Amino acid sequence: MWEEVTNLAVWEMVAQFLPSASAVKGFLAGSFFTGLVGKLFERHLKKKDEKASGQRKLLTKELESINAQILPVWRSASNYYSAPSQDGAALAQKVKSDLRQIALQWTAIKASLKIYAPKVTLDNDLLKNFRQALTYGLDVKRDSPLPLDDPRHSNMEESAQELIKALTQACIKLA
Amino acid sequence: MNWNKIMKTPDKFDINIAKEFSEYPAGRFYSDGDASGQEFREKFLVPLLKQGKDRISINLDGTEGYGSSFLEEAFGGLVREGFSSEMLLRVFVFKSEEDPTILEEIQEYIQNGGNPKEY
Repeated sequence: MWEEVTNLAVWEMVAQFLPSASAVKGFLAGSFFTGLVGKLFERHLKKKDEKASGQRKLLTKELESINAQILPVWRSASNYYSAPSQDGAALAQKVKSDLRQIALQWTAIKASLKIYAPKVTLDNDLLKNFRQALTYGLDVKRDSPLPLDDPRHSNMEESAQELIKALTQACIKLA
Repeated sequence: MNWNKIMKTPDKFDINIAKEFSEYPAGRFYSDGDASGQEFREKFLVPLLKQGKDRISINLDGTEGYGSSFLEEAFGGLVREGFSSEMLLRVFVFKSEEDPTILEEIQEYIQNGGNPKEY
């Protein structure tokens, strides 16, 4: 009898520290809900990561596409300056159109970088310097080729190399 | 030039280079051919500035591209003609969605007007 009383007292004491049945139910339901939300959130994050990764790959391709256009447009400009200006009207127009195309892509890529890879930036000065170097004497009447030691040649080369370097570095950062 | 438009909006004027001047702006001087920077400056910019326009908005989109020679002569040339850089930067509003770097280039020419960068 005494033992039974003692056991009862012990159980009552223990019960004080145990959660009630409804609390257990609530806890289980809560953990189920938390688990479900967690799973959904995890799936959402995974999808977001996949989308961001896809966008970064796309951006890398677009940066590579601009990069591939730098040498040809520089070459066109060099060819233009290696003859009298009247012989290169079509070439001059091509240089301007190509540069415009590059600028359009550059602007679109910069907008996408802001969203998907804000740490990767492109300095507008690089494109501006490149265009300036290539077009400063464009369409300007010149009866002979630009002398080989004219600083415009080295300016074109330097600005092209700087642009290529920056675009390559941006691709590496995106990878 | 659309003079009626100027009369309707005495203090402001909008220019779309591709539509109102040329889709193929090219060269520095008249001697370089049609649609040069000098022509654009003398036929469009100087008359508007002399009328005391408060705001001249210039849309650069839609052309087949610009050479720096054209841009420098059109805008840097204004400073060489006696217009102050500060006034020009206050009055002009440049627009280009296609290539915002052109805007920076023009501002540079206005700031360095009279002393075009030598290569």
